[in-house]
Amino acid sequence: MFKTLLNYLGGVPLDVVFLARLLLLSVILIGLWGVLFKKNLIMKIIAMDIMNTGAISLFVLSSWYRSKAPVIAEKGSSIPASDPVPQAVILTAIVVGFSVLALLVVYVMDLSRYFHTLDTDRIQNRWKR
Amino acid sequence: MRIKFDIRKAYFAAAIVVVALLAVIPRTDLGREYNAALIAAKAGIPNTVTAIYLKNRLYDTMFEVMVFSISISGALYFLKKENKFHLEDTLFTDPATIIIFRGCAMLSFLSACALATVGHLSPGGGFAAGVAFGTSMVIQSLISDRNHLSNYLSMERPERFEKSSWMLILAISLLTFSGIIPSNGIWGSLLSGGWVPLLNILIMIKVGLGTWALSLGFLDHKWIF
Repeated sequence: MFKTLLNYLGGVPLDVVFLARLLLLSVILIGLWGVLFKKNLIMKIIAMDIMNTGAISLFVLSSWYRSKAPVIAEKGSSIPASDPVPQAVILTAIVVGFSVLALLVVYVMDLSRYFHTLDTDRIQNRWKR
Repeated sequence: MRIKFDIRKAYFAAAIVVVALLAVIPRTDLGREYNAALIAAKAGIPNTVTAIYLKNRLYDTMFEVMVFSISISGALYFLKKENKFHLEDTLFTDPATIIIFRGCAMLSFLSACALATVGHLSPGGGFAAGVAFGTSMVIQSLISDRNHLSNYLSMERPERFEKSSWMLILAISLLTFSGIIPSNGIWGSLLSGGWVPLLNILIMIKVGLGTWALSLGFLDHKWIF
């Protein structure tokens, strides 16, 4: 019953890759929950980094194929390996995520020096005054 | 009766719907047999990830490196507004710790060199090597006699070297876009693949020095201690 339901949902078999995909999507959701509902700015930044990690791991999982690195041994050989395109694309996201993290931390340092707090509600109240 | 509407809860519900849709997308294995081999044969180097981000998508990588450089400049600008805090007392002075940290830094630097020089033949590449290089420099800056680094490198402004290596990356990218590319050479040799080995080493220097400059800015700042 459950298996037929899964097959109806798009032919996804219940294997390790599917379970790992569910795990990484829940990591992204946990990060989004932290970004939306946490009051502390540092906790928000850490949650954003968790979200970034989940998205990067999802891309790496989507390129996974029998744990073979996409390095071709001989010229013209066609051994099935992992897909190199998602890995090369997500390398950009790693570096840009690091840059955004550094800038956010510095900006929060400046904010906390001005408002003497990291709580978003207090910062909002003092901003209005 | 007024329904309390929280926009954050609406965002979270929408995200749950999107994630549920992403979870049931079928996975395809099409194109996995010939895709990597085709890219490698065209680029002339075995590592297809390096081939994509230094040959097929060089335009993307050039501006990615620029984003990294600009964000480090911005962070250092904000960090330099305050007076610097000299933390000679808080660094490690224990001789055993110094020896262990120096050994770790040497191992990290050697692995960075290996990752950069054979990054087009084996798994690795410029960005991974840059992170290893930056780690070794940060470990060196945590111990108390870190000023002896200034015999070899300018401790004051490592971002100056970073900017100049970015200009070199830009120059090589412009040479590539204007069609001046060396031939691919022998498959699997150290200097094969056109500009790829040089670009790997330059990206290692740039990312490593950028990470080191940022970490020095955070370490010397008053806010942390």
